[in-house]
Amino acid sequence: MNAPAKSFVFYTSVPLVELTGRAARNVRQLAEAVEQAETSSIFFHTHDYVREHHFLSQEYPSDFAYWVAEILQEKGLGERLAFVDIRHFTSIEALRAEILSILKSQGGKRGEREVLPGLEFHFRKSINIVVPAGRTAENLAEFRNGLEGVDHNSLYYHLIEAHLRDEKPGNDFSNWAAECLGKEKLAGQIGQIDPYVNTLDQTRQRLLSLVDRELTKERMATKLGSYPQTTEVGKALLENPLFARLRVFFGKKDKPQK
Amino acid sequence: MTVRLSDYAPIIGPQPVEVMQRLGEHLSKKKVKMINSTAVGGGVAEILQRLVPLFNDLGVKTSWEVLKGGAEFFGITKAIHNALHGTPVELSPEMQAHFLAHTRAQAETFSFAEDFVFIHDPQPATFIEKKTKSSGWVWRCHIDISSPYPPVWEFLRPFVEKYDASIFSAPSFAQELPIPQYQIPPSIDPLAVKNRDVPAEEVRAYLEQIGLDPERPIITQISRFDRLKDPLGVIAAYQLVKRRTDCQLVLAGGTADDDPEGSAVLAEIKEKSAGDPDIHILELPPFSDLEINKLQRGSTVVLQKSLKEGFALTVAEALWKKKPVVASAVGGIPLQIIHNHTGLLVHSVEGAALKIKYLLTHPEAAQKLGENGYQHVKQHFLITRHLRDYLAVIFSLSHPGQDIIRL
Repeated sequence: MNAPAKSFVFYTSVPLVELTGRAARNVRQLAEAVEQAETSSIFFHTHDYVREHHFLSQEYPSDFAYWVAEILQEKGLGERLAFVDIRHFTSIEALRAEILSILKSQGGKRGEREVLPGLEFHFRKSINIVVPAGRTAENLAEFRNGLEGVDHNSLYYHLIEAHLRDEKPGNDFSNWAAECLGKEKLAGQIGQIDPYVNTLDQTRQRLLSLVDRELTKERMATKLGSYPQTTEVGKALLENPLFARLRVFFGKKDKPQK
Repeated sequence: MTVRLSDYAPIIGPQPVEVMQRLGEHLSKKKVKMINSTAVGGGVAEILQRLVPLFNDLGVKTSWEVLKGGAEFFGITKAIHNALHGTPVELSPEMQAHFLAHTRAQAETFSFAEDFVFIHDPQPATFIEKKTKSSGWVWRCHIDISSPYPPVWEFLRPFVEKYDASIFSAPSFAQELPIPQYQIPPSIDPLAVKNRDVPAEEVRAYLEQIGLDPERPIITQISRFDRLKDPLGVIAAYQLVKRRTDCQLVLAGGTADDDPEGSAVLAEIKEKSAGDPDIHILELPPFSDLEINKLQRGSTVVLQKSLKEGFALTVAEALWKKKPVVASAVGGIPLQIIHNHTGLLVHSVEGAALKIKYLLTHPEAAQKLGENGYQHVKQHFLITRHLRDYLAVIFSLSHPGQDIIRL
């Protein structure tokens, strides 16, 4: 979405939760409903969780895992569902098949054990209204300001939704860093952050610290690069092995001497 | 003084306010109408009193009109309300005829030139007959109609099915319908007297004024004196805790002067608590919002041990004050209490006693639940989220069938 221009446009998505009318009281019913639910409903329960409960530790990174472990009290099954690495899937249908195979492994009487009334699993989905967040970035420093100011829905849009929207690894932030800034290493580090096991605030902090480190490197590189190499002091510094290593670390190559 | 959306920026942050302003800009040429059946009193009127000015503050011209009726009409709508809640109440052909004639006559007194019309609850539901093709109509149901008395629901259902969409407070409150059903929980207003910050010294002074010892743990349930709120179960749970853990109990609710059943329940409560100076029964007069605020803030644990509930916004109010809450898994409570994360859900007197005792003896765990609860309410149960959801419904009506709407 941000590829054609060099600038990064922050968007945010405003969710509206829609009820599907489908509910489950036990594992068997949950499996049946997972099999038949709309794709958008599977997406909601495996991805919106990060946004809905962003302040909680992501012990169970999907509604299915939380409900099975904490409400139905099927801890083992819940742990297996929690272990499904959602980031690994770039298609909801593959994710649905994985969840289904785990749920179907619990057959027999245990699959029929019901939760108390009022604690049923209700299948929902969300409609998302995507709107510019009012922040754009032409460079990394501006990106940092935008990242710090946008709301959780914006982080969700660029980190979580992007993953399946574009059906490719990474997210909007890492793709911009690689494609528009040419910062492959930073892009790789951003791509490594797992938003499903962190709260969105933790994810934001990690992103900010990565960007800050990169900005520090940029600043240092500028300073080191602008050092007057023609002066006596400059020449002496260039001959210092520690200084040379610093220049290499910050990506500065010596300019050819005039 | 009119509250403006920007007044909420210090609470929810500037970006969510900016986003709503941007959504509002897209709707600046649209007109919205809200219709319900009470101008004052009751949760719906309270919410509309806040929401409508915020809509207008965003530049979305929004009006609010009230369906009028006499004692006979409201007697019938009360019967419909009870039947939708599941009570087997017969709606005779005469009652049905009166209801239809009155609502149709009322509809003639309204204009429906707006682009979007939100009809709240069953009373004005038949107004849908005035819908034009170019407008979007939404039935906003504030009550739990999951197990209605079938004959009455069948009477109402054909009207509901004519709407473009419906809104329910919780998934468990809904009915199967051929129209889209959105989940929009009710909300609390952080700037209202009942929820705004109160200095700790004022809270302490109030507790002392009503005979509580601020130095000792206080367990509080705030709800009207009604059997469905299980006040006797609350006392029983308190007594189990009290065997080994020192605490005081507050049962606070509205006065029961005009409610014969409420008076009987109050008498039973007083009888059961007789002889225990640590049980405080408070009959709060109307407009006691500040007192409720102070009570909630002064509590060590807040309880909502209801047998049946609507949405139970008293839970959100307590969570907003960072209080650990022990509550029954009924009505809208499971949406507010994520068990072990934003509070503790219980299913019996013993369960309630166990969890209260745990919280009294594990203050760090109690504090963590309270902090999570506050964050949960901040994200899901404030009036600003409510406003944003209504705006989203308007966009979804304009883009039917789309899961992603790009503006």
